[in-house]
Amino acid sequence: MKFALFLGCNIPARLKQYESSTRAVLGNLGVELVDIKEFNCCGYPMRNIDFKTSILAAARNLALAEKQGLNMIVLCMCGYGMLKKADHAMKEEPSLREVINTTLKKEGLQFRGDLEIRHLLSVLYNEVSVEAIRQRVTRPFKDLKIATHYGCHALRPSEIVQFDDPVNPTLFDKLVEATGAQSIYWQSRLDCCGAPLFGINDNLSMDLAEKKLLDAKRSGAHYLCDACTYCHLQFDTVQEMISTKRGENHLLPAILYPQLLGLSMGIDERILGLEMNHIDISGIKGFLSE
Amino acid sequence: MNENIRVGVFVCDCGSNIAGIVNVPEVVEYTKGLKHVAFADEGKWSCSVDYLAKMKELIKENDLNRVVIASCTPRTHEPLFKRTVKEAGVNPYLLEFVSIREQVSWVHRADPSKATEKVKDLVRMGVAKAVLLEEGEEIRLSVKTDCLVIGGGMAGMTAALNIADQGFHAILVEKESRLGGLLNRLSVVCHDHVKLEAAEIVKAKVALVESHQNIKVYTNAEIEAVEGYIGNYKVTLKANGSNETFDASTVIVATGMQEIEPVGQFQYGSDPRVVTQVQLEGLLRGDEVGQVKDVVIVNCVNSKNESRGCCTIGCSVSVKNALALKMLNKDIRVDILYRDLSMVREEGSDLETAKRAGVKFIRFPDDRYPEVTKEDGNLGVRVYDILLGKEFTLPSDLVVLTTGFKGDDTCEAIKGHLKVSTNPDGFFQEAHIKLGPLDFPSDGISLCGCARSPKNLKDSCEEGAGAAMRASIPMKRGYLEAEGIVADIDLDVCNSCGLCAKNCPYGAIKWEDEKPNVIKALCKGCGLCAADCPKNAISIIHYSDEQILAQVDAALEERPEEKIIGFVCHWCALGGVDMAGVSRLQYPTNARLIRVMCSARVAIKFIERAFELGAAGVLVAGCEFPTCHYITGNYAAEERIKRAKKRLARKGYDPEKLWNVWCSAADGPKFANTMRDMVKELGLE
Amino acid sequence: MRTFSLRDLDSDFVDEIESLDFIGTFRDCYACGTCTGGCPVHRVNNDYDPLRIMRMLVLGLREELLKGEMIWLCSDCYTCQENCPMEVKITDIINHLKNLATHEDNTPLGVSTQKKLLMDQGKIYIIDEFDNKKRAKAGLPSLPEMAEEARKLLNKR
Repeated sequence: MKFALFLGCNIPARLKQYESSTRAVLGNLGVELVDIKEFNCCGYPMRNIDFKTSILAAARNLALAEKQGLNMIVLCMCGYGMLKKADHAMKEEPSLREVINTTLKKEGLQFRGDLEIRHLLSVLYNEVSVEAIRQRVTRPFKDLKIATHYGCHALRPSEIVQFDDPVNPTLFDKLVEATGAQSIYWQSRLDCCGAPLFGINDNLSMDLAEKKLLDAKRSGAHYLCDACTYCHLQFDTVQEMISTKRGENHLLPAILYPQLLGLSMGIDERILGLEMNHIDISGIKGFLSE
Repeated sequence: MNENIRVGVFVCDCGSNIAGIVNVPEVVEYTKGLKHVAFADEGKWSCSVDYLAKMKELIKENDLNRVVIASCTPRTHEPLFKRTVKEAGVNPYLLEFVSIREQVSWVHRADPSKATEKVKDLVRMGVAKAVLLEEGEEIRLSVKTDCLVIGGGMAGMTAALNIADQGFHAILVEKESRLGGLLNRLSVVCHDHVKLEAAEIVKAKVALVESHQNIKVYTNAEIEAVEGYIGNYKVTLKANGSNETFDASTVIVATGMQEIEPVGQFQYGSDPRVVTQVQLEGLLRGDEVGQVKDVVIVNCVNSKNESRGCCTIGCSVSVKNALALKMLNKDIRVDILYRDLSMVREEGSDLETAKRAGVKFIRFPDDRYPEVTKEDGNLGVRVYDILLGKEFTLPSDLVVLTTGFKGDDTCEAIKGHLKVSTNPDGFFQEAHIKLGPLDFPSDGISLCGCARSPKNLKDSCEEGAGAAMRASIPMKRGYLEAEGIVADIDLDVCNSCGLCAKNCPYGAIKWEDEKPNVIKALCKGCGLCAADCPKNAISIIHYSDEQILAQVDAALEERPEEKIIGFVCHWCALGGVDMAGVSRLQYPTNARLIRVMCSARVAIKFIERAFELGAAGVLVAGCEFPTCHYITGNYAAEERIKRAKKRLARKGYDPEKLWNVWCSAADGPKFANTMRDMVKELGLE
Repeated sequence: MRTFSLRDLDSDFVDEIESLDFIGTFRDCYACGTCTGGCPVHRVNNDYDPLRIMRMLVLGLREELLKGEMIWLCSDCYTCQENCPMEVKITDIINHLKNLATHEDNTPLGVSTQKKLLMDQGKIYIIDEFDNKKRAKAGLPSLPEMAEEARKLLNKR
């Protein structure tokens, strides 16, 4: 199993723990990762400004992976959604593909449309399998209640992203339960984290995050688990901001899925970068079985 | 009285349904001691094939000439037992049904001994009535094959064709100079996705009608009079200036509808650029729309408000005509201002087409209708868009009002001729929305199309065919059979006051030679006339004064102070009683119910007799308003109860002990609650 | 209450939006409100209302839409589009409206900043020497400072 690892812009600079924990966990499960240093922005931030530019940015990344004959693994839901959208759009609309390829050609690149774009979670669920993960779990969690946050762009628009049932997804819950933790049901689990509104209307963005966190907490969760750059920044960095600005106590710390899985696999917490989270999550170790 | 009266009583166990609570052997033993009872038996399952066969044998062996069956409820099982006694050689009118499952064992489960006492009372009441029963017979009336169809629109023409195609004769009467009705004024109709020229549809149908040898068409004709009843109508027409008279056996009413002209509203009448949908159809039909640029259509004018319901066709008419305008010229701007859009079946795809053609839809709130404005001679429509919370002004050179409809102007006259009623919206009122949608309460008259309610062409034609089938049933059979429960007037006692003929909801009492004459085929046996007759000259067969009073007397033989006499109508009130039973709603045992066909049968003297004998209370139970199986029987009963209370007070009885309840056949809880409340209020707990 | 004269509105706007790729028609909208009912942003701030956006669009209220704040409050979560019974591409349409709004100088600062970074660097964050040192410490491979080729490509377009 070999994938081109697409990190996007944020992870290498602001969320290194997501990268290091992912590399550690996938290494443990025998998934090989290839780094393509020429990758650029996924295109997502440009969707607001110009549809075609965002497609072009995404298409360049896809072409780079295709050039090496690799499928792509994406850690960020927004990046995943953007790359899937570009793939879909260029396959649906030959004229768009033509325009994009004309531009890419200047760099000697071409989008052929024969690679697969996978999110970290779907690789773990479909390629690796829950059973294989369970076999690698050496210290399963006990009595740990987790609120899974799926992330909008993994689920919707479902006909393009094809990740899981958009109304009643279960993939992430099963992966969480493979670590021994219990995935609880909470009402707003499929709602937006608010991240895309950050920088546009910070207050509204924080309202959305706070509402979700309160709901997850009220539903009995000890931690919120996510697997997306923007969602995690929202539930970690922005949650900290909420508590400073609004005088709220830490509502519910968020942990990245590979951090959660890594702990249950007995991987060193320094490699998983637990201390790099803004909100202290070290307490989660107390739920690990001996 | 016949000295040889031999009553047989059959008390059913209904497995353990009855026998689980009621001591049936004790009841049977008790019954054997009653006067005139020649035989009594306990049946495990009385309605089983085996027991019915045995019952026939027992009736013959014991030479029984009256039968009382005490079991479930007459509403489900009376026809079966009637058939059984008939097969045993006993006239079915000599059967009395006593309900001891729904009225006793299912509702008094906590007190088997009181339940058993109640059953004894009910059986005693049944026997008392059975002794007085008289033979009866179904009434037959011959029906020939001429059908008068009033109204030559699409529904009427379809009805006439369906009558004629069966070999019957249709007389089609149209007030206008040509057949076609409302369709003559429309441009196109939508029909199964196909737009058809209205004129073409009319032409094709008229050709069929006019060439049919079994249809006689009168145009420019008015109904002058209709006398008589099913099988025997005399119709007088005024056609082309002269009167003509003919016979008819059945009648179909297909008089159609008309728009309610919104005079004085939305500048209608004061500005020629404000028109109704039918007027727009006229413009489209005559290619007279002209160079309009901006058309605004306002829906729900004079409909769906406090005084009348949804017209049900306005939405699709507005969309159809918006599309017609767009087809005329795609650059015409058309806006439809609506409150709700109710478009079903193929109409839904029209809505889609209209939206794609650029017709704009703006929703306005119920309490803020659009206003038509006029500034410097320019028309405009001001509308508040409820979805956006914004007010717009739409310049307009044609405003089309989708106005509500009412029954045709001729409704009033025809209503009088046929003695049928209209609803508050001015349409003819069917017998029952579900059970008799194309019938009037009177036999032999049916209705269809827009005379009943606004509808589209397809539905009108379907109803036309349906009404034709309803009219054809007695014509095909050749006779009408009616139950023998009818009024019987003793002309020696009658003083010809005329009250009965005036009040009969069916027009079944005709005035002949200064005396009333009951047309038995028309009489439904409700008993309204008998209960109100000042001379006590009217009896209802199977529900005579003597029979009902005998039941009252029998009920109150012992401990009357604990008992409530309840008069319940067969249709709704008894349905409510049965529903309380089926639902096992428990209530006190005090009631002794006496079945009547309609609450209108309950004469004040029945109520008085109960109080004279010391009853704790009296209940009159009838159908829930506004329905009644006898059109208006419950209204008559309600009025009579008011009079009865006054009379009771004058005589020194407490009028508060006379109760009434109007409940639907499904409302078991209402009946059970009434019983509980009564027992509490009357201090019987 | 302001009064609009609907006839002054841009009726070509509806055609303009419908002619965009991947949008299809939105005229089938029957205003059921499922979009607004499921919208997480509407739940915390009812100034934002996707149904109102759709109605404004259907009526051709171009100025209102492109100069107003409402479209920028969409969080791009695609719940409305996923739920729409008439399969209207609501979120995609709103994203296109955002594109058009930027031509009307209606661009929130956060969005224009991101655009500038992307055009200057080919990615949002530069990975400088210090970053790469930290990455090396965490056992992660070093990355180029910016996506130079991508920057050129995006600027050529």
